[in-house]
Amino acid sequence: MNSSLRADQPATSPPRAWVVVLPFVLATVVLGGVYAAVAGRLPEHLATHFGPNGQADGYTSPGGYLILSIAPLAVFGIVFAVLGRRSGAGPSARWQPVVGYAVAASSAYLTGATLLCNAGVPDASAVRLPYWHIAVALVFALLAGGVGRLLAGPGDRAARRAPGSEPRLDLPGGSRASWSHTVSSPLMAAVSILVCGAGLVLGFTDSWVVGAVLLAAAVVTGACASVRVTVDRRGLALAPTLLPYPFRRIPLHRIVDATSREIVIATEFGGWGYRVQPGRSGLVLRSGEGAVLRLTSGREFVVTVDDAATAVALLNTYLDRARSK
Amino acid sequence: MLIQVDPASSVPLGDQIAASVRGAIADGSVRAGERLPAARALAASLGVNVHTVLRGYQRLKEEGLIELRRGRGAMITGTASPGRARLGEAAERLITEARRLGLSDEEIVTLVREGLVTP
Repeated sequence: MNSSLRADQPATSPPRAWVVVLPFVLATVVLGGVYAAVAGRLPEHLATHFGPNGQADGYTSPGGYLILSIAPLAVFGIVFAVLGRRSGAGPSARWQPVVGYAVAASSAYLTGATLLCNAGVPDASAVRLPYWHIAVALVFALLAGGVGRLLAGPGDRAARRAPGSEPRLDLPGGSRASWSHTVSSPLMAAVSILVCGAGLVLGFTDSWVVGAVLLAAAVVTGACASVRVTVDRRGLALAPTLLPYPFRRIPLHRIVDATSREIVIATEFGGWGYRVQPGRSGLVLRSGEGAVLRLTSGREFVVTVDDAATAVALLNTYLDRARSK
Repeated sequence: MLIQVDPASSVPLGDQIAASVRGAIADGSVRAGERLPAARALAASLGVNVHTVLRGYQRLKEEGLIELRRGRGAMITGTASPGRARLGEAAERLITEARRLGLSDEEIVTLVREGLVTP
């Protein structure tokens, strides 16, 4: 039933390493330049921390301040480079450079502004750093984030897929079909039972509020531990196996198309359960075969489930029907 | 598991649902111990009456392929094997063929009984 339905999908490449590291290198170079330019005019102790009214209330030596400013940039640069390698081509890889550029630009601006405010001042206690510098730092962060997004590349995997190439199911006109399969996570079931037990114990011994919160968490986890995925004329629905009322529905008119592929939770989602990420969301209870729905909103919805190939073929068949009406 | 019905077909909808489940057991895509969708949920999904689905499930229960428990839904029995499901499909073919030839239900049962008498 599920052979010969698979459609391969071109992989996208993660942003190049130099794109990720570049803002931190630039920020370090700029700070070094500013320091070299004003080094001769700095007081013995720099004003480096400012109170609510912009008045200086913390002091550091110029050399120490330079090291304290540049060391975090180097650490961030290494962390972002490692993260970029590990998260592969997932949508999160497209947003890491944005965060990296924003962090580098805003911290470089604030450090640079602090150095310039201190330049040529005989007494550091007179130095002020007005609040509007924080607003400017935010603007810098936004602009740099935009540059990071552009340099990271479009990364729009949907745009690279040939339209109409997704698998279809041979469903004679007029006949109806319903596909469903359960997917469960023993790990989440165990967590749910543990939390439920803790909720009962604490509810009786400690406070009923804590107990109620834990019990509610246990119910939510338990509901997600075993889920029936259904695809039919209405679209896709997720419902707890034991309680057939869907907690998530994606109607047909919100779906552009569907494909099935192998999903690796560790690198793509970083955890089990119902995940929401920039650009996509979904229920991933295990790695392996999964259905990927492209939505009209431009987002992706992912659910890992056995026999996903048949599920997406049926979805595409119903999508064709809806469009030919 | 894919359950397919064609309202235009002369085969009753409940029997079509039973045939889909039987087919899924026969080709190994559904295994013993798996749960079928709740009758109410499947009825809404296919756009048919819930009693139609229950008729199909009842038929599968009589064939020994599923267990029906109140409040727990339908579950594929431990004894349901692809072979058992294929046997059900063969019986279905026998009945369809006999009816096409104009045999009455009595005559079909007699036919099978006579086949059982000969050693």
